[in-house]
Amino acid sequence: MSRGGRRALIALGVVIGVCLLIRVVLDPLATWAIRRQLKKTPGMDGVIAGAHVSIVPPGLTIDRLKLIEVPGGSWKEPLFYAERIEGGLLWRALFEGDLVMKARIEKPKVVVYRRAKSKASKGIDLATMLEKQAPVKVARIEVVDGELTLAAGEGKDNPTIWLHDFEIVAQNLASRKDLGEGRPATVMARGKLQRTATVEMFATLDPWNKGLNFSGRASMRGLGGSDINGLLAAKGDMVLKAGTVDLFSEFDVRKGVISGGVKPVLKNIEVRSADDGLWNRFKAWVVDESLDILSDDVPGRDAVATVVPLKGRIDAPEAQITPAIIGVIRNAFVVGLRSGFSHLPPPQAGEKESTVKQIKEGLDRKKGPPEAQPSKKS
Amino acid sequence: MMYAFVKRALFIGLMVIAPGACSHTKEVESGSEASKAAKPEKQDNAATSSTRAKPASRGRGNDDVPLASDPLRMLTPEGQKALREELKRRDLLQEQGSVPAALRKFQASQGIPETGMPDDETLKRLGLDPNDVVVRVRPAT
Repeated sequence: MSRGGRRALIALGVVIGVCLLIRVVLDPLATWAIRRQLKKTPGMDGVIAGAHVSIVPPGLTIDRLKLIEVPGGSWKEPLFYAERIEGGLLWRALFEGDLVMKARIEKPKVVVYRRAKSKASKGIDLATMLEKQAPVKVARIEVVDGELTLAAGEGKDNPTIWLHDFEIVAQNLASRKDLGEGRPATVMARGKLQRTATVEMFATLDPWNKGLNFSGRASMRGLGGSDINGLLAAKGDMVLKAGTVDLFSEFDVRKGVISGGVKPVLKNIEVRSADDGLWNRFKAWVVDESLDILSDDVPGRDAVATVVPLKGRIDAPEAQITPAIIGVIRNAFVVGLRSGFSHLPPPQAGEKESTVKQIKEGLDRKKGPPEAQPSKKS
Repeated sequence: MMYAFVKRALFIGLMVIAPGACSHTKEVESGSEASKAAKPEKQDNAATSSTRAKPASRGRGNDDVPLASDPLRMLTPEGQKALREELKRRDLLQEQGSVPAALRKFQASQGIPETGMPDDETLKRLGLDPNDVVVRVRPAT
């Protein structure tokens, strides 16, 4: 072999050696850096089992991340735990000069305890907030097999909302409008609530325009009596003996003004008193009889249902009671309201109608459920 | 004062008279819940037709991104048709079946989040290009 050839071979060996060394050192280095950063986070402490850095494509994987609150947190009941978090950059976008990321979180568990109410900031302007950020886009975040517990306080006696088996996809989250490629940011989620209900949520968001602008829908199907009793146990004089609750909502928010509706469907609900007190038993009897009177008589369900129109500012939405009450009567005595997203959001009357006209039209079988009334400001 | 009293009296009267005056509802509007389950898209699309008209009536600018309250409305009509066809071709969707249920089946088979909604990754794995089937604002000329 010639002298030049030998030199080239040595150079190649050195490059391969350095690459191997970097490869071997990179993972422990990343693990050390993340652990150090977690220790430095104010009000939190965290541990990870390990981290893996990939160069092609550029990415980072963190195994078994656990976060606790300090002081007072417990490693047995962490605030946040995730089996695996994977994040990476998209090569193609990088070559075009854009920073586009992708992330996947597997089996996260989050526990949130209700704290004293903090003063909500009014007039959130996402557009202004995003303008201050570097131009970056998260093409996709997916959450697989997640679990979220919202507790009224620490301890087992406090009612908790348990969301589990949830799957979330968020896509097109960009800090600049041009990075959004003419499409809204989107969030899609599905999971189980307590032991009985299925919940779904879909929202499209325009964060690049002034004010809050989003549109979407959410539903909860089949929340059973035992689960409702669990949620109401702390306050209730009454408990549900039987029945399920479905809830559907569709909403549209433009520049902080909401229009939309909520459709509750209470099926085969039976109520009884939580104790043997005469007054509570009487109250439970009145409620049970009222529900019976206001239920339809459709085979397979005795449902109390209506559509409640929502109007006003997003930070103080108003429910329109008159159309909602007419809707209950219509469902009980005129025509049953289907469970699902039909009649959501409720159509709006062209001009404000008198109560008599609302009743007349709302109870007309040939027409749809009562219309939302235009608010004075709109 | 008088108006509020009349309004309340009307409601109370209705609540008292209605149970005696007419019988309880025996059927759900336009078919049963079972038929709703069989044709979810058709009804859901009808239900959201009013939201579709909203953007124009609210004076949105031409460059505002199109917001949707129904996941399938993120897709163009051709995109919705292509999605149904692809799901049918893969035997995941029957003629009157539910697209969200078929999407959930497909997503489960691919190990991606089972939302039952057509996100970009799901569309790509179904062989559909999101650039062709998703509603977006036309690029400025």
